[in-house]
Amino acid sequence: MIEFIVLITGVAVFLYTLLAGADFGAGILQILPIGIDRKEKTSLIGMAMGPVWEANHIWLILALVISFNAFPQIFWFVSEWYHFPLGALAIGIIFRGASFTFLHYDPIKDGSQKVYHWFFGLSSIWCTFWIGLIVGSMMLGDFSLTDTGIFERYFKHWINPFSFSMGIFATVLMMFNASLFLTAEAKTQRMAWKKLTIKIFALLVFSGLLTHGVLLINAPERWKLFFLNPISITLIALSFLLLFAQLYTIEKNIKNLSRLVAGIQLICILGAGFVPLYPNFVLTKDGVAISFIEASAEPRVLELLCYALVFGLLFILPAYYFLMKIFKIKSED
Amino acid sequence: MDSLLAARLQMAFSLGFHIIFAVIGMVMPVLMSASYWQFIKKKNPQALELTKLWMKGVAIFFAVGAVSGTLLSFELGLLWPEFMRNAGPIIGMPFSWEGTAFFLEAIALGIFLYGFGKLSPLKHWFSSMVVGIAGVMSGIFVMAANAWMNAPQGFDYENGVYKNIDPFAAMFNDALFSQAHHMTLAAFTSVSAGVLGIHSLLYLMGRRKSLNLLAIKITAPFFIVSSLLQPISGDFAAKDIAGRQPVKFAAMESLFETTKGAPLLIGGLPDVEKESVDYALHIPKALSFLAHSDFNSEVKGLKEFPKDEWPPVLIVHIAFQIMVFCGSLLALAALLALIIMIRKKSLTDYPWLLKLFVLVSPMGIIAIEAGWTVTEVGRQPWIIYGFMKTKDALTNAPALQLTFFTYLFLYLFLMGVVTWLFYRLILVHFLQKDEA
Repeated sequence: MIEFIVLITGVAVFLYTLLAGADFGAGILQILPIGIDRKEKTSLIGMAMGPVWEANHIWLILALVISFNAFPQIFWFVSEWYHFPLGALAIGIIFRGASFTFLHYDPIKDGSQKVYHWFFGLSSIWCTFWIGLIVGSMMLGDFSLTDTGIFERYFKHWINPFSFSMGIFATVLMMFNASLFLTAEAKTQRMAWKKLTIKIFALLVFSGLLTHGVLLINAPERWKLFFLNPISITLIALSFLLLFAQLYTIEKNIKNLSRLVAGIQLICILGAGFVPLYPNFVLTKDGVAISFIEASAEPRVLELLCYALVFGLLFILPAYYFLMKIFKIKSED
Repeated sequence: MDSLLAARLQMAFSLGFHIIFAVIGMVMPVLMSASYWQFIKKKNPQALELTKLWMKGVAIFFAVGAVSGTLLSFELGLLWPEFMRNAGPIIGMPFSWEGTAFFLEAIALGIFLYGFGKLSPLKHWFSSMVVGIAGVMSGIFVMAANAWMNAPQGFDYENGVYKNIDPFAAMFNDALFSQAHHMTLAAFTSVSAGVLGIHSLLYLMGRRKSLNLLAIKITAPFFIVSSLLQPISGDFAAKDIAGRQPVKFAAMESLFETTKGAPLLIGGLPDVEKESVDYALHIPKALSFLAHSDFNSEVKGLKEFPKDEWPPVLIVHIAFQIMVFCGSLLALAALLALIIMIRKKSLTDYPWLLKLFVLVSPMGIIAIEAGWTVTEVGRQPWIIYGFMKTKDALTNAPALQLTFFTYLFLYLFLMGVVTWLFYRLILVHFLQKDEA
């Protein structure tokens, strides 16, 4: 039962990272001087994101709801130890959502568009950075669960080079995903989009290596945990190899395969961070863990949550497929 | 300002902001759906124009509501971690169902917003119906979680631990029914009053008269039915609170002494130190009737309870008075409109009525804000009534005052921008005056 709930939470996190992540990345690309006309960029991003924008972001709400329902101790831990990074992320999410709405639904197109445009882009960078930082800090586990001091409990564990480098890596990863999706959607200037994707590809490899190096120097024991685990290292290697497959699909313009590869690649990256810790959610430096089993709610709660998830997905998945079919598949006909 | 007050104010502003967008997201799709049906049935092009106009409004309000709702789910954990750690598994079920309903709402809205010309009109209309139904369901599920905080059940409480959780019993708690119908009706009343007010104003200004007439015709039945049902619903809710949360009920009416045949106060300023109320109009025995349907029944006063368990009496009393005042005015406007409609006259033949609609248009939202103040402030000092005090649920994180002011600025800024955007939306569609 716990495995099923963890799986569904993982799927929600994966879909949020993939789909909403591409939205975040698109926001960043919108303000960067990437050699594509601004109006064209804005219009393409609006067309690609508009119909699915709200739905993409509800994967995050689903993951949050599952976590406080099934794993209240984990929800409590994350809320307390990541009070400030989550607070910063939340502010970014609201600015981003609001500016996207204003950008696309303001009936009068004047100077205000520029303001929305910049707010949208800057808040996209802000959000992706904090998401990466939180994930990085959890991977590092530089905290003690008995910390009560203000600095130790609320700041120390995320103010370090690895967490910051993960913030940068996540930002570049989401830009890469966005670039892939937009290259597939673009009807004009495809060559420019392709070139951009290749540039971001190089940046992604560089930031990945940087993150890896920082972990190795900063926390060699943690590096061993992730890089000497056979499953984890296989997944990392696979995600690296898939980057080349990705470039091939772009070159050959195989859109659906390109999306599929992007999805598998993200599963590999998330899996590489998750597998060495499982069945724990986090593992502190002093070896204390919060495990999914120990942090879970009573069996009756889990059982009813499982039914609710299955029942909910029976409604959501066909509807979501229908939405995608209308706007993503039909638009390519 | 201490941390507890800062956190409570932040939550109050967050909820107060979100609730406006939540009710619009619940009700506007229903109005939009009704308008679109007019277009499908009667092929009236103005109904299509109205649908698209409302649709743009829905898109703005829904999206801002979705992000402010996401923010709230963060804030629950960030400000009240102990509450979520203990209550999360108990109230998780309505939230998970709410998640499903909200997801469907978002998907259906995406289909409706971008589906013109891509779906058959009937399928397309159906998507708008799904948005409306899922929106209302979503609101009711959230209400279930809040109602549980007022009527906690579905668990055993032993040595500070919540055990043997029964999520069904928790979800279908004693407060659910009264809160759900009262809030659903409030949503319909407030949004339809707002829409009616805006279109009445534009009609009176001579802008796109036929389009505004159509909007008034579509909205008026929703306004009349919900506004006239609301006092009945309110009476039911009052009786429920009097039985279940007597201290909240006593604070609502500033009743300090337990009284048989208690009077109902209209207005008034309570003085907690002196335990008296100044400047109030007394209706003899009416409070007893409101509480127990018996003019001579006993109503418990605040002094029956330890003073440290009293909610802030002044705030609860004034908020309750505002809610009742606004609700009564709305019901009066609805009654007048109903009389005119029964006489088979057009509402637009009565400019004074349109002016009244304009006057009462913000009152639904004001009543909702006041009503939520009664519900939430009236439950203090408890976050889970009778089990966990609000101060015990608070985070230990520092600088909550700074966080509060940041969020306050953020919400005020957003409210300003949304209002400005909404104004521009109206400006574009109603720029031209009708030719004489």
